[in-house]
Formats: sequence, structure tokens, C-alpha cells
Amino acid sequence: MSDIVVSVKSLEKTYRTESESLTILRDLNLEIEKGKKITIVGESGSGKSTLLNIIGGLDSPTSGNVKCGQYDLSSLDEKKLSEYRSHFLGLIFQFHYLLKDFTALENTFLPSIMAGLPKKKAVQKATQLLKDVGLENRLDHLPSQLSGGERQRVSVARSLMNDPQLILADEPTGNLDPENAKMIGSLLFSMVEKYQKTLLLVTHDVNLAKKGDLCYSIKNGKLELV
Amino acid sequence: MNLTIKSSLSWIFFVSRRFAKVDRKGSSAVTRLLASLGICFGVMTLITVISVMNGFQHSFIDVIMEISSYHIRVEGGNKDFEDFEDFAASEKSIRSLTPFYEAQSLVLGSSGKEAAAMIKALPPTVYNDDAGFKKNVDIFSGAFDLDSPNSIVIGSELARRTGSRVGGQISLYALSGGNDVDLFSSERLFTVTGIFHTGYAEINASFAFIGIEDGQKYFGSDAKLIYGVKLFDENDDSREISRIQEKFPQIKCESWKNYNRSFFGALRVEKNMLMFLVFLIFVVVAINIFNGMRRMVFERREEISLLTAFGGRPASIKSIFIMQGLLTGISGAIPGVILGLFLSINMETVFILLSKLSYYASLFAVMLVNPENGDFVRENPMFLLYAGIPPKIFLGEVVMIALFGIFSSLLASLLASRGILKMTVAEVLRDE
Repeated sequence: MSDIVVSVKSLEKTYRTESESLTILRDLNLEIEKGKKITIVGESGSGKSTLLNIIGGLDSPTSGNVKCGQYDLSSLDEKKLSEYRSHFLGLIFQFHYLLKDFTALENTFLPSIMAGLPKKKAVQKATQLLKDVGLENRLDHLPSQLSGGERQRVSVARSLMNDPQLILADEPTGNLDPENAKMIGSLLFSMVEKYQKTLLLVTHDVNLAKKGDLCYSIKNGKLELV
Repeated sequence: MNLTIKSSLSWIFFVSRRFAKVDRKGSSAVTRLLASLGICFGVMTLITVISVMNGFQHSFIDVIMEISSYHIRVEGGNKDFEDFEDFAASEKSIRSLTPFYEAQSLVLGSSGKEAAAMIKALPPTVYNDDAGFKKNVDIFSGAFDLDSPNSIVIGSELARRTGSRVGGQISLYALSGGNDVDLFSSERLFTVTGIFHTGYAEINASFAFIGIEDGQKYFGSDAKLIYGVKLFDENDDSREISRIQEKFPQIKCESWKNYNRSFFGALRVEKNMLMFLVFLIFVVVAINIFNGMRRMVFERREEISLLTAFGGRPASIKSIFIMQGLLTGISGAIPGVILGLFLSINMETVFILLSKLSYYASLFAVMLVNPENGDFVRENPMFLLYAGIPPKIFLGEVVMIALFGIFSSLLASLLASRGILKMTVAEVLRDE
């Protein structure tokens, strides 16, 4: 069985408006082995988030091929795409994107019950993960009752709920103060290490990027090893 | 982890319940409350209107079937009628069997006034033998007495038109029938023994009953003996006609549905039109729900995108909003049914109350403007007339109305949720 978790070949993404077209990613290639922690740095607008969205099945490429595990994203129907997002991926965004009407615990276990795990088991697992990220006393708090760092810790816990093979983190510390950013960065890498996940992280933070096994820079729509 | 229907519904219910709970505050709550109230009002109104309409229509449908058309009219079997009577007596679905003749005539009262009438020649014992007939023929002057030859019982309005009263005499001329029936005959002089009143004005104005022997005597050789069959269940007519015709092929049977086709058809059209007009309430409510739901979908686009990002299928996410519509529909329809049934059952009290209210309002207005005319204020007779109509509630109609209320809400939310995720998840999250 191949150890390649992500395989991106000749990827191109062009945004077209009525007056212009802008190519963000061009002939981009990337392979990520199982268990590796890959980081990507780049300027704003360089296409980091776009790459992550395409790998996450949240956006579609203009051309090229993206294969993650057994999923060839270009040929997935709606049902398979949902299965891919639900079972293969863990997502962490720059903004925490927690559901505002649900508690920390509910936000954490929701992806699991959406994937078919019985609620009782999902609650047990979510409680453990929130304990791992140091939020055992915040289970019943709504996002509005949590600090920015705490919200992002809930996001980290949520991303691990469905035992995904790949975690995509889109500038997880970009919206935090330096102290919290450092703490969340360390937490994320330690959790990924603990649960033996593959990580693809894009960030502005060079110090955070250095924690990866491999660090790429994205320039002119292509990846360069740093 | 296997995604079964049960597990899918589990999270859809979970999210839907939470959205509903949160939406109990603010403008969404007002929209939902108004939508539920609209459905409640629509269901209540429709049940009340239809039950009153049913009561009103059945008050004379029953009269027609008990006095005029019967459930099955059987004719053409003069030779076999003895066997037919035995057969009818053994049939468990037949409630009563009445032989009769009928002919049209001009009725001339002793005062010289005349009116057209349907003369029905019945066995003198029919009033006591046929409970349904007795129930619908209310004798308010004299008695239903056809024992003596040349006795006649006439409708109240016919009596008024011909200036007849009990003990008075009337003659029948221009009787329909064959050549052997004289146009004018001094023999056809009848004594009024009773005046009846029914719930259907047309029968009061144009029906008269004579004894069956007088009918045989006066209606001529062409007069056909007809048997009126009444069933325990009026809708058993087709089955019973098949049984009769299987046994007596030469006998001609006509169902009440066919005999009264045009009249009952008109009643049905009237009822359907009324239902259609009241159903428009649901259309207005559905548009309201649609708009509210569209706004809710737009306001929750970030949550929708997140649920999609975590593996929620678009159909499942739509179900969350459809569930909201279903809840709105159910929360409106259930109290609507309860209120509608309550109002229908207590319709008499409601109309009497309305009558009193309208009386006191009129009295107050008159006393305010012209106190000396206060004695002339009367209760509105229309309300009292309506109060006398017994409402008739059919379970099937109540269920249909309630389901329509729920369905209108469901359809509105289904249409509103169609636009979910027209933008890609990445676009929504980037915009946020």
C-alpha cells in the first residue's frame, strides 16, 4: 500500500471575472507521505489557502489532478465528496468557525455524529479530546464565552474527532496574539504527533513553519522547498 | 462509522432542534410565530367552514334522500316485485323498502290559488314504518293521516301558496300520466289531513303525499310502481344495485348519486369553491414562510458551509431547514385542528353569542343616537338561523385540511432551501 497521502499533479487554478483572469496556482505538484508534517509559507494572495481549499474539496481546480488516499477528487460525486470530507479530513481554519449556537463539546462532536458515530460515543471522544487541549472546564461554554485561543483549541480538537488521515490547517494562528499563536502552534503539532496524523499547514508564521518536517514556499503559483 | 438513515436523522434533528430553539428570539421568532398562527388560523377556519357547510348541505341532502330520491329507486319489475320484497327483507344492508307512485300535478286550493306539485302516493303506514322519513317530515299541523281515501298531506309552503289548511279541500288536475288520466276530474278532490315541514324549502313548496291506493286509482294505467330502497350506508349503493340486478335482471335500479347528479354536483362545486377560497389562506402563509426561511438560510450561510465542510451532504443540510418548516406546520396545524373542532362542536353557542353581541352593539349605537328607537332593535335572525344548522365533521376532511396546512409549510421550506450552497464553501468562508 502506498504511503502517499496527498498527490497533487499539474494543478492550475485561475479566477476569472468579466474583465480579467488571474492564475493563482500553475503547474503545481506536491506529494505528502503518511505521517509527515508539511508547512507552506507565502505572501498574502499567493494561493496558499486556495491550495488547501482544493485539497479539502471545498473548491475545484481549473486543471490538474488531486488525489488524497483512495479519493481522486476530480471524479468524486456529491456523496463521495461528503464521505471524503467527513472521514479523511480534519479542517482547521484561520478563523475558528465554530457554530455559534453550539457549545464547545457540541462543536467538537458534531462532525462525528454527522459521520454516523452514536452520540454517546461521540460525546466521550470529544470530552477526551477537549481534555487533551486543556478545555475540560469549558465543555458547556458557547464560542462567545471562549477566548480566541480557546476557540482555536476547540477547532484543533474538532479536527481530530473523526480520526482523519489528513489535517489541513489554514493559518491556524493567524488571528491570534503572539503568545496564543505560539501555544496553539505547539498544541497542534503535539496533537498531530500524539494521534499520528499527516498535517498540511499554511502559515505566515515562519517559526511555526519551521516545526514541519518539510517547509515549502509558494511563489508564482508553484511550490519551492525552503 | 456507517452513515445510516437513523444516524443521518439523528444529527439533522439535533441541529434543527438547536436552530429552532435559538430562533425563538428576535425577528426569526416573530416570523415563525406568525407563520404558525397563519396555519393555525387557516386550519381552524377551514374545519369550521367545512363542518358548517357539511351541516348545511346535509340538512337538505338527508331530506332529499329520505323523502324524495331514496338511496336506490327500483322500477320495472311489476311481476317480480313480490319476490323482490322478500329479497329486500333478507338483505342486511337495506334499512327500509317503500313502494310508491309519483306524478306531477297542479294543486288547486279552495281559495282558488294554484301551484305545481309532485304528488307522491305512499303506504299510509310509511310514517310509522320508516324512521328516516318520520325524522325528516315534521308535522306541524294536523297529522300524517292517509288512512282515509282522498286524504292528502301537503308541504307548508305549498299550503301557504294554495291557501290551504287542515280540513280544507284541494283538487289535483293536469296530472301527468297516460291518455286515461283526465285533465280535470271532480273525483280528485282531496281533504288536507296534515301539513308538514322539512329542512329543504323546495320539498315544502312542491310535495304532497296521498295514499298508495288513491295513487293507483288516479295516476292511470301508465303509472309505474316504484320501490324506494334505503340503505344503512348510503355509499353501499353500487354493491347493492349489483346484487339486485344479479338476482332480478329485468329490474331497473337507479342510485341516488345518479338520480340527484346535477343537484349534488352543484353542491359539490359550491363546497369545492369555498374550500379553494379558504385554501388561499395557506398560500399566503406559505409565501410568508418561504420569505422567512430564505432569510434564515441566508443568515446561516456560514453554518451551512461549515456543515458542508465537515461532510454534511447538501440533501441532509436542506433537511434541517425543511424540518423547521415541518415544525412550523405541525405547531400551527395541531392547535388549528383543536380550535376548529371546538368551534364546530360549539357552533350553536358561537352564533347565539354573535347574535347577542351584534344585538347589544346595535342597541348601544341606537341608544347613543336615538334612544326612543331602542325598542325596535331586534336580534339578527341570520345568526339564529345559522345556530340551528347542525355542523357535520368528517374525519377524512379534518385530516386532509391538517395535512394541507403542514404540507404548505413543508413545501415553502423545501422551495426556500433549494438555493442552499449555490456558492462554494470556500467562497462563503472567504467572504465571512
